[in-house]
Formats: sequence, C-alpha cells, structure tokens
Amino acid sequence: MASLKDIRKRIDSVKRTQKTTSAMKMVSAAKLRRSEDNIREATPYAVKLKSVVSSLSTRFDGVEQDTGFGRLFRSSGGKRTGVILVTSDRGLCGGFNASLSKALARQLNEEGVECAEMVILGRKGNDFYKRTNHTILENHTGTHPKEQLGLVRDIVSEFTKRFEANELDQVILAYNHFVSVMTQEPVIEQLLPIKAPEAESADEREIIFEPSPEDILETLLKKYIQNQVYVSWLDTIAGEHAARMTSMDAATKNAGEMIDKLQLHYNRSRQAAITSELIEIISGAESI
Amino acid sequence: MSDQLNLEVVTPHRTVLLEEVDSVTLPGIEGELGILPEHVPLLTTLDTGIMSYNNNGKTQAIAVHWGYAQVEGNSVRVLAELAETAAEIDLQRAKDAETKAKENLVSGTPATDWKAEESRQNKYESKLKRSIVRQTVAQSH
Repeated sequence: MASLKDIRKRIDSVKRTQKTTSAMKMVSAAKLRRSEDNIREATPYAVKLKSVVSSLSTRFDGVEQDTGFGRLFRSSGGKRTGVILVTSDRGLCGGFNASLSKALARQLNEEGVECAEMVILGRKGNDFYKRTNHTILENHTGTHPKEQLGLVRDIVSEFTKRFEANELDQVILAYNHFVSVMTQEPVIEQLLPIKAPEAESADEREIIFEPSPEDILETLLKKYIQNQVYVSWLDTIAGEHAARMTSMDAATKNAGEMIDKLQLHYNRSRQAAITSELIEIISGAESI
Repeated sequence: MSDQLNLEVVTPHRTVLLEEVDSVTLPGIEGELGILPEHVPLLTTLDTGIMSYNNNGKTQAIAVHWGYAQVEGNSVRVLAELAETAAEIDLQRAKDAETKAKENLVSGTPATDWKAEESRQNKYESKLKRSIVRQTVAQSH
C-alpha cells in the first residue's frame, strides 16, 4: 500500500496539472473569441465572392477546357493529386488533428492516390504524413492567416499553375470546419477542377464586363480558390481553440475527480494509521 | 422604385462600409466609372485608386487597392483586396512611403537581370501609386 507521503505527493502533482489545464482552457477561450471574430469579419467577403462566382456560373457550362479560364475546369480523372492540408501547430486538443489526417488518408486511399503532393499548414499534419508515401512539398508552422494572405496566394497560385500545365489532375483542400464549440468536423473539398457554386437565381440580363469576360473570370476564379483556402484556415484555427477548450475543460474536471478520490483515500489511510497506532499504545500499556 | 444605391465595400479581413448612397464613382481598370441607380449589370476589375460616393450632396472617398466591383440592380458590391476610409489613413506614413518609393525608383540599386529589374520597378511603382492615392483620400477628409 502507498504510504501517506506518496499519496500526498500524488495529490499535489494532480493539483498542479489541474492548474495548467484550467489555465490552458482559459487561454483557449480567449483565443477562440478572437478567432471567431476573425471568421465573422471574413465571412461577408467570402459570401459575396461566392455569390459573384455563382451568378456567373451559367457561363461555365460547356466551356472549352483547354484555353483561358476553361483550364480550371479540366477534369481528366487522373490520379496526380495536390493536397492543401490545414492543421494546427500544437496538440492537446483531443482528436482534432488526428481525425482530419485520418479522414484525408482514407479518402486518398479510396481514390487510389498513392503519392499525393502536399502542402501542409501546421506542424501536426506534418508529423502525421511524414511517415507516409505522400510527398510533403512545404510545411508552414507558426503562422497565422491574417498576416499570411501572401502565403496563401503563393501556395494556391503554385498549384493552379501546375494544374493548368497539366502536371496535376486534381487539387484538394482538407481542413476542420468549426461548427460549434463542441463540434468540429473534418472537411475535404475539391479545389481544382473548380466546382462552381450553383446559381441561386439566374440573371438572364446581359452583363457588361470590363475588361473582357475571359480576363475577369480567370482572375476571379483564382481569387475564389484563394479565398476558400484562407477562410478554411481561419475556420481551422477557431476549431483548434474550441477543441482545446473542450478537451482542457474535460481534463480539468477529471483532475478534480481524481483529487477527490485521492483525498478520500488519503483520509482513510491516515485514520487507519492513527487507529493502529492507538491500538499499539493501548496494548502496550495493558501489558505492563 | 428605389432611387438609392446599396453600397457594400468588403475586404478579406473586414467589412469597410455598408450604406445607402446616391451615386458611386469607381476606379475601374479601364478608367473611372460613375454608377447611378438602375445601372445595367456590370462586373469590373478595380485598379488602385480612389472610390468615392455621394450621399445627400456630401462626397466621401475611400482608397481601394485592386479588387472587383459588381453592379446588379441597385446594389454595388466592392470586393477589394484592401480598402481604407479617409479617417483610417495615416497621412504621415503615406508621405513617408511616397518618398521611400520615389528614392527606390530613382536611385535604388538596379537588379542584375532585366526581368527582376522590371518586377522591382513595378513593385515600387505600385507602392508609389498606393501612397499617392492614400494621401489624396486622407486630404479630402
């Protein structure tokens, strides 16, 4: 049986852990609020951009797939895949990163992609995929999307260029969608070839384009992809903090329960020790 | 029939403006565009420049740096990479940026090959343009 001193030590150590987890929970809660604000501020732009693209979607039907912006729609059904994976830098947030990485691996497996070329944001995705057959082109850590619009642009334009040059057959984006504080769900989306959002209401009126429709559509569609990646990054960061907050909350609760149990155990052992000591003294006194 | 335009200016980071206005002038890539209510549908690329809008005889300016504008019915949506209202611009910083860009254009060390040199010049030219636009907007305030 553990001695009283051992139990006391154990209680102290659990208490210290509890302090850490509850502090982490608080920090995540604050960060979550900020990243939710970021999403809220980025949403109008994303929504408008999407609606602009969708209002033009009738123009994409039956477009020639080997010139101009039509190349972004080219679907060859090949297996050469580029992946943009968005994960977090740090762990201690439950199954947040692992479930995404696994979902992506499953999808790649189902599609029969053996060697995808990946750009990974966040350290955790890198840790998962560096042991697999997939090639990691770049890994960016310690970055935040708000300062990194340029980085997003570079990653996307590199993939787009290679897609247009027929070096890749598809580009997919994997990230964690922030549904609520309790739930984040892994999302795997196809970026290229572009799936244009459906038009809500087809506007049949003639639209004036300045400059030509071809020029506008090409840059607009690329911007649309970039924005998708940017927003998904913000989404993932909010999800990371939410996941960490809930898992740290659970850890704090568990530590509390553990302390209670240990405390009870400690009190009982202490009582038992006192009783046995008393018996010893009394029986010693009797024998005299 | 409404005789006002619903003007929205958004950037990837935030919503800059959401207002009912009488008319809008946009810095289109092929020249300035004046938009009044009941304009025909239009989609255009925006250059770095000054976007201004008029409301009850009062004109306000916003500096926009590259983006798109969509006009549909009575709504004008401006999707800019960067947009700043006059109150948000730091005039001194814009002035400093102008002198710096000018210095770099006039006496900066040229890059070795012509392609790099061209992109270097483009970079500073757009910086110069941006700082001038910022100053104009800030002073119109």
